[in-house]
Amino acid sequence: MSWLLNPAFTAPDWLGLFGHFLLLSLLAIGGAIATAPDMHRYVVEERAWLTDAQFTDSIALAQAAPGPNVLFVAVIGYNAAGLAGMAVTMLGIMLPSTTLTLAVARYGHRRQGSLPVRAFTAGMAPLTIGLVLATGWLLTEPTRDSPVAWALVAVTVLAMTWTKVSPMWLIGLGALVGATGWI
Amino acid sequence: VLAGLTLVAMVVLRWPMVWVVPGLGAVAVALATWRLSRRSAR
Repeated sequence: MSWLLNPAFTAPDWLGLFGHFLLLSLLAIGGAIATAPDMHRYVVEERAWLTDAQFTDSIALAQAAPGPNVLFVAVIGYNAAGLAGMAVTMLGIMLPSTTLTLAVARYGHRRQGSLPVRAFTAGMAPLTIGLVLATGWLLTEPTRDSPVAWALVAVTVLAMTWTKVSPMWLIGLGALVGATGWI
Repeated sequence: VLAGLTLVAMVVLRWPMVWVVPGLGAVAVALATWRLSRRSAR
């Protein structure tokens, strides 16, 4: 695959990639990361553009790097189809949600206390929790057989829940464990 | 319960998000509307 674009991609592939991310953008309650299970279903299981490990690595790399979380979409797009893939996926994931936010934010803010707005935010909260948990489960896929990986997950959850330790230390710990080959 | 159902739909059943979010979302918003309107009526 060229770094600029994947020559194996046909016009329907490009349209499918753009259309799928466009649709996911509208369903991204709880942020772009909540759409990771569906991105995985599409780019790994249905289209086989990425392997499980490539998909997880793309998210891990983007999450560890500074900047907005949504940049993991750019890494997935790049790994699937080069720079053009990055542009197509980022445009797809950003365009509808940004437009909708600009259009609806003022309406929602003015009617913050109204029943429909309160019911919408209260109703969507459990779905967001479910989607984020599904993302967490998906990210364990390549290391699910490793007890060390599960111990690291447990340490991370406990540390983030009960202490005020910076996530940077945990990212460093993960990198160290990975570099030493324990996972 | 809704969080659990979402998790099962995405991880076990591998349903597309385009079914899960509008489907369960409609149920969740309907339940929240019912609970909030019952609370304000009291």
